[in-house]
Amino acid sequence: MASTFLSPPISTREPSVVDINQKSKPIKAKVPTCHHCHDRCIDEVITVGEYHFCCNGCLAVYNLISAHDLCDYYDIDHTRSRASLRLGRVDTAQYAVLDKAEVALGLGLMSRGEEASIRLVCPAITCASCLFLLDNLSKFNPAILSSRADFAAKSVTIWFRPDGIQLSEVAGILAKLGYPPLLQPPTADSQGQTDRTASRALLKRLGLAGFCTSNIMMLSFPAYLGLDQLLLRQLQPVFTVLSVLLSIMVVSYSAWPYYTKTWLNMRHGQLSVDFPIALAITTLLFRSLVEVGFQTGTGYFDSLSGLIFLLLIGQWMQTRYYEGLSFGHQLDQFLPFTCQVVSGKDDYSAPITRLVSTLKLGELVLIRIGETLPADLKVISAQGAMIDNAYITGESDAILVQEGEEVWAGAKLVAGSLIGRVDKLPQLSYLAQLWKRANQSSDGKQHSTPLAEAFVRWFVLITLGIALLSAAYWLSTDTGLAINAFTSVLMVACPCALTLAMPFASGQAVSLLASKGLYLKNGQVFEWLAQLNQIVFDKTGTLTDMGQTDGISWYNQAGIKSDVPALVRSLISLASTANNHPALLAACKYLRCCGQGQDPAALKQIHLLHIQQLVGQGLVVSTDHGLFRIGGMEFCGGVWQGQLETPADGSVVVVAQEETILGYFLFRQPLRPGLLMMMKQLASAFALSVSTGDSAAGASVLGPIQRLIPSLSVLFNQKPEDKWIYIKKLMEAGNTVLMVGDGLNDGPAMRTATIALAVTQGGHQFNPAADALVSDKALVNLPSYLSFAKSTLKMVTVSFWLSLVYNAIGLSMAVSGHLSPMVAAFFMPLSSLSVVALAVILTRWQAKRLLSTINDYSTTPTN
Amino acid sequence: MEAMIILILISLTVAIGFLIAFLRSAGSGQFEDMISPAVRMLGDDTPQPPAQTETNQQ
Repeated sequence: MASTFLSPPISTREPSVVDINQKSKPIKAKVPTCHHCHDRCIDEVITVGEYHFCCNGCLAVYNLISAHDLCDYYDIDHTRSRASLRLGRVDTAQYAVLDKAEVALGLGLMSRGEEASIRLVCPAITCASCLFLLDNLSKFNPAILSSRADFAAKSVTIWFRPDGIQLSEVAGILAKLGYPPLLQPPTADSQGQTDRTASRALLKRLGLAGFCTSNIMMLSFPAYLGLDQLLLRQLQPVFTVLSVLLSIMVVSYSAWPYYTKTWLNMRHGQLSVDFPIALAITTLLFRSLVEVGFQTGTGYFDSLSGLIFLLLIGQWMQTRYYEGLSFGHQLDQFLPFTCQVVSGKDDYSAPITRLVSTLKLGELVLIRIGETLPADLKVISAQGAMIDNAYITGESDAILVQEGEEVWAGAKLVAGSLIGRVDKLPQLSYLAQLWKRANQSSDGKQHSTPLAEAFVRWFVLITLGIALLSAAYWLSTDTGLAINAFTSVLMVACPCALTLAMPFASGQAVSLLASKGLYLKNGQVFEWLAQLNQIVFDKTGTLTDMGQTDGISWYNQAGIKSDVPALVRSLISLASTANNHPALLAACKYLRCCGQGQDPAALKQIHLLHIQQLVGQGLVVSTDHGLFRIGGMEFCGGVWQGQLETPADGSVVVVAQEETILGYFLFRQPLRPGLLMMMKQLASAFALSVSTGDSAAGASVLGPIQRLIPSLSVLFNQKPEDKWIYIKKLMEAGNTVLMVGDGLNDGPAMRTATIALAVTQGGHQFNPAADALVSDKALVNLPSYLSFAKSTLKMVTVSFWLSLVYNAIGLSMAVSGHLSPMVAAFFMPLSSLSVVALAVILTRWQAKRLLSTINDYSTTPTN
Repeated sequence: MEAMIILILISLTVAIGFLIAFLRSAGSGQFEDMISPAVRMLGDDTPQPPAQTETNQQ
């Protein structure tokens, strides 16, 4: 398991999907690669000496690195794209807040005498070169004593002298190098335990259990061999005392979590898999102590510690499998760490930066463009503020907010600025409630995977039944034997298939799938994946490809495809600086790619006066060359002389100057390559449906799919609510539903579906509703993923049966009341290990059979 | 047989020494990052003249 990336686990390497439907693309002119970030220099090329740079940011970092004699940075990793390092605007001012003592402490600053250390998370760490650079931070400032980067956790720990350098400067250095640290407190779970301390504790428990097991085994060896000589009998009391001491250590330290978990679950009226384990451990310990105390036998100390050791190995393997796939479940990671508090309604000038956690009700907060709202606010002053609620409601269109309106924490300000009064504190905000609900439901999911739940319930009932029956049978003849039989049954019946085989198999499967481009949140998602019967697709961005620039073309007034006129070029590039409407951005990218936006001399000099976005209609751009409208045909309102042909898979954006239409951009949204094939494969096993916000006419791109799969149900004109209701209905009808979407305007629907699969377009995207992530290029592999999940679960069931066979053999020995310690010591680990081995081998075999055709998306650093 | 007892006690003491060493290293987080040290080792080389790097790679 080598893919160890923090959220989201998206490969940094450009994946290449083998696709039979793909047409060969024309070879583009060779574009120089940036020496710093290895990205293609599309916008501009800055050449210094023999090196090319894609932007001033990269050049600045190069200068900084070479000035400090760290150019090894460029020799370590030549090829990997470090596009994530491309700097936007470096705003070191935002780190000033770090110099406040309480902020620094909140981030986990540790001071010891003249030294201080802090661990900062830098998501931009992608390669071996990054490690090299971050390990050498001390070269940038003598007050930085040393630094150590952690690739797996994408963090860097820095030791520095607070009297020589301030924390804000340290963060500033990181930001200037292209690794802006996240300002977020260390994550902690409900018991205040961080992931790190939890995994350390598990490792210690495992170590102690291993130590005690091996020593107890050694001490029991004479008994195994049946050496009954006088001398050994003299030694036996010493061995026994040592075994008892070691066993008590194991039970009271290594096995303790099983007791606390059982207790917690019992208080909630649930029966978890920890219960039979705790029961078996207790029985083993007490029976052994009684035997030793009355000198009737040697006890089962070896079996006891061996059992605990094996169980802990299973648990540890599980954490190893998932450690790279952190989906980040902390609410405070999604709210800002600091905010700007102002004193008056119109006071935009002197904001004070404060920690969000110190906000009080009624305080006024200034939100600027691009910032996320820290709490539920009542807007008291808004200047053209537009808010994107995609994260909360799933609504992808930004909305204009007026004074007096209420806005939610977690929303993002995409235009203008606003001042709001804190209406509800972050912990009590609407987002926090949503979050709590989402986590509760996912907890529910965790405890109720069908296979596990059924197994535990039956296992406990049957075990207790057999134990009682055998005790009752012997009770009439021999009380001692009855107690023996009762305890032996409880000891031998180990739910090892569930505690070991299932985690091993699903953990293995999750990491295998991750290497093939599908990232699952946990093993439970995998189990659900195997039981799907219904798949719902979102259209835009999921089935169709938004990002393809070769799908855009310009048609002039006469409706003839042509070059984009200079006026429109300058208009588009001008407007895109002020507004990030998707159509504008796509047009802008198109202009750059075909080289039409490059030459500044060819641009007409126009100046922007005002830009206004009318949601759902288009943009009104007023310039010194008059008023332009960009949007749909009715919106632009001009008289069209030519013939407007909208092809099946396209949409049209018209550009008009005053009353004259200049022409239009035709955006094609072709189906993803390989999609038809994928749908055909899926249709044979699942019920498919596509839900789209478009009208039937606008979504005629789906025609080929409908012709191919007559049973496909397509729902048109679906608003986010409609999609949600549709999914809910399917779920209520008892279906296991997979919702595949881009995770924005289908947020509510995704939260409701059994599994939500978010399709990400390469970059960093996160969605709290998503149980799984797949990159857009790997989506076509979905049939392989699903058939792999299905067959793997079948294999796990096979190993379940094997464990039942073992249990039957063990029980038949136990009910007779004669379970020799030696047989128990060999039988119990042997049965567990063989069950685990079977599950893992079968899973690997299935992966080889079903996943080998998919290219690897491995994410380990290479040199 | 006292020798056996002494030997076993010695072996246990030695083993407990290793156990404590393990517990301490696990507690200080030495087993957390299994990737960076391996990568770091390769990056620690002193800078080489470019010509030599070329030949090394071939």
